[in-house]
Amino acid sequence: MTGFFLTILGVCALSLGMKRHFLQVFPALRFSRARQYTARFAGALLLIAAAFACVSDAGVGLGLTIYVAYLNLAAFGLALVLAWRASSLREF
Amino acid sequence: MASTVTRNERGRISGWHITSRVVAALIPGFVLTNTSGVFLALAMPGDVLHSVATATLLSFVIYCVIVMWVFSVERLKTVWLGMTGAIVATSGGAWLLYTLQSSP
Amino acid sequence: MNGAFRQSMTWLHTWTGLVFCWILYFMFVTGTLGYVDAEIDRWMKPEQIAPQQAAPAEAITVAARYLQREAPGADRWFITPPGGRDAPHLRVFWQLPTPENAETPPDPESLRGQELLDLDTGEPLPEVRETGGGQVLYRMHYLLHYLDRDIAYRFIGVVTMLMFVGLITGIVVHKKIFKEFFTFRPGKGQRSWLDMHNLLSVTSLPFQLMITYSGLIFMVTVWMPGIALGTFGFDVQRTQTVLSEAVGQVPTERANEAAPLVELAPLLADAQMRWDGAPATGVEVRLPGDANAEVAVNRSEGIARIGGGGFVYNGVTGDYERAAPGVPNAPIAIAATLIGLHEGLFAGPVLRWLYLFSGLIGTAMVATGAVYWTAKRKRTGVQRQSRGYRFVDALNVGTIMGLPIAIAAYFWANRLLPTGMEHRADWEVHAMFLVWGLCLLHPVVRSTKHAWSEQAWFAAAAFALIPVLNGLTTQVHLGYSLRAGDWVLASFDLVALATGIAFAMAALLMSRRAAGREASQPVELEDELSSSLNTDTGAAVA
Repeated sequence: MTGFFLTILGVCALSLGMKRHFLQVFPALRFSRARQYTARFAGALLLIAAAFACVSDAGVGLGLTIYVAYLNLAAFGLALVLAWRASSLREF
Repeated sequence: MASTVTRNERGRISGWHITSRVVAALIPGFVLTNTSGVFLALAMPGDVLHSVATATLLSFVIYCVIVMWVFSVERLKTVWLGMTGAIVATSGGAWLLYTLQSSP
Repeated sequence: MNGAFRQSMTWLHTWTGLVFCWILYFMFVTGTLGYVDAEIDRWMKPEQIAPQQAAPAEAITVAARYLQREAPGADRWFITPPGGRDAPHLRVFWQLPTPENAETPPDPESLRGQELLDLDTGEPLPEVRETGGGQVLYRMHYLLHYLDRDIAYRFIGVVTMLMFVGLITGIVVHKKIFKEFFTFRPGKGQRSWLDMHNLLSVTSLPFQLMITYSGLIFMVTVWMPGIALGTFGFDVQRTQTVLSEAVGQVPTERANEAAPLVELAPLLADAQMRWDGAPATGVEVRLPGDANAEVAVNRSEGIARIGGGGFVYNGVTGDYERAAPGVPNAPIAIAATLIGLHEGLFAGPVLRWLYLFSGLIGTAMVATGAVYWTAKRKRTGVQRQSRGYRFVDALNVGTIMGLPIAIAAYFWANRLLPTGMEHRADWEVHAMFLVWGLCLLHPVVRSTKHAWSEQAWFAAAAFALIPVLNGLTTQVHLGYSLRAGDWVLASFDLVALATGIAFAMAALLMSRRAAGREASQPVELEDELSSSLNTDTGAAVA
């Protein structure tokens, strides 16, 4: 389960490293280069940590298979949340 | 959609052009996948089983690339001439390699 | 990348994707259900006794006794001791020799036999309710049920190849894979459909590539034998020998001299010792009762299920002979791993749910692609009148909505057809395809606009009422399964209910959208999109 939570955090951080999604979540803040790089770096680190967590949990072959499935679930879920959240923000 | 696939040399939409490409991808394309696979297997150094398995495993990638080539080349003539040339070259090369390898 | 190249690849992506997309959708739905085939089996055989547990040695003895009686002189026996989700009961399989000097070659099916055995009695489990179960349903994704096996394999190979070309060209034409990785813009018409199609495909790309390429590897002997043949100078005999030696299938010659088969249990104990205590998962007996008999004790674990370590014993004396050869080389190991990933037999509960999810995403990817084709052409009135547009539109409704309804019909037939009926298992399948046929006809006689929501309502009812139907016709309803903690049975009913609810939500959104359109208000495509998503999710979970 650690692997899954790290994967979720990782894709969230990566999405915050993108201007569109950063402004969707923090419309009041400025999307600076420093923030972009911090988010991307954190996202990459978290995803690497997630991969290690999965592998240490279930071995290399099985662990990586589970990791890829987690990535799929997390990225798809996040995209839906971002889309839903953005439209609800616009109504305010 | 306006693309080179569906149009003839004068830019008109042509069903004949599409059919010709589909046929080229299906028949000579499949033949070329096999001839180039055999050529690849014979040209690879090392254990023959390893080479055959590698070439066979890659064959679907090869076929995919061939199909994409058939549909991206602008002129039909290039498609058919290129296809014929590649089949002749790979099967000739394969025959040569096979003869060289089976005669001690 | 130059514009002309991308344009031609877009054309190729569109048409390789569209031409067999309804078959692809069918393959995705039934294939996804294959990840829960054993669970569906369990639900469709409500009278079957509960899963049994026994030490492999004990189970093997029961199996050997049965096979000695029913299939002496067979070429091969396969014995699978019970254990795990895939083998709730002791399973035996046998292959009889092809009779020599037979005038007409016998039907290969008549030479094979298969039974599930009761450990307590040593006899086959009584089949109260003849059914194809989850097995027939999942095999449809490569056998297409009504077709001859060879033709089906060839056709499925073509469809899979189109899918592969579709995937690769899809990657090529997608301009902003990373920039729009998480992007979904609802309420923007065809743009939203494309966003969703991209989102589904990009986030699940590793799964899609794996499932498609491994699907092609299954077809390698049907479609690509030419490369091996050509490399060995078109010598069929030599090719076959080299290849079967490579995978360790050295044929055992019959001595034609009777000799009693060795006791199997001690061999299992010996193998278990060699595996440091891990039990065997299967036993193969070659030429039982012959002087040249051999016993292979196998253990499959990990992702790749072929080339796993096993041990071969003399079938008369019981002497240890050799370790079965492992995977001969790297490319074959890669192929074996891909096939193992495709089948997902190694997956535990968590990964099995994730497999289901990935399968659903693939299903939705095909469906959104097909709907995008029509959404893109909806604007121009001329194309909307065209025969091609109407054809695709009708097939979309009848398949995307109709196939899930047909699968519900398969489950309904399992409960409603009389248990003593002749060819009962066949009629379950006929019911499924008859209903699908009706769903395909429906949008032709009705407008597709109405057909979408009507079929969605129908699917909602068909799935949501499954637990009720189960309660009225069997003893293994939710009232029993929830109390007894029988989660396999309970999950089936609960997932059917959830699927029904998802279809109902989809139907509600579609009806509202249709009403909105009649009031000539701007169309809420967000609804359309999310509803289609719900239905797909629902369909494949069921």
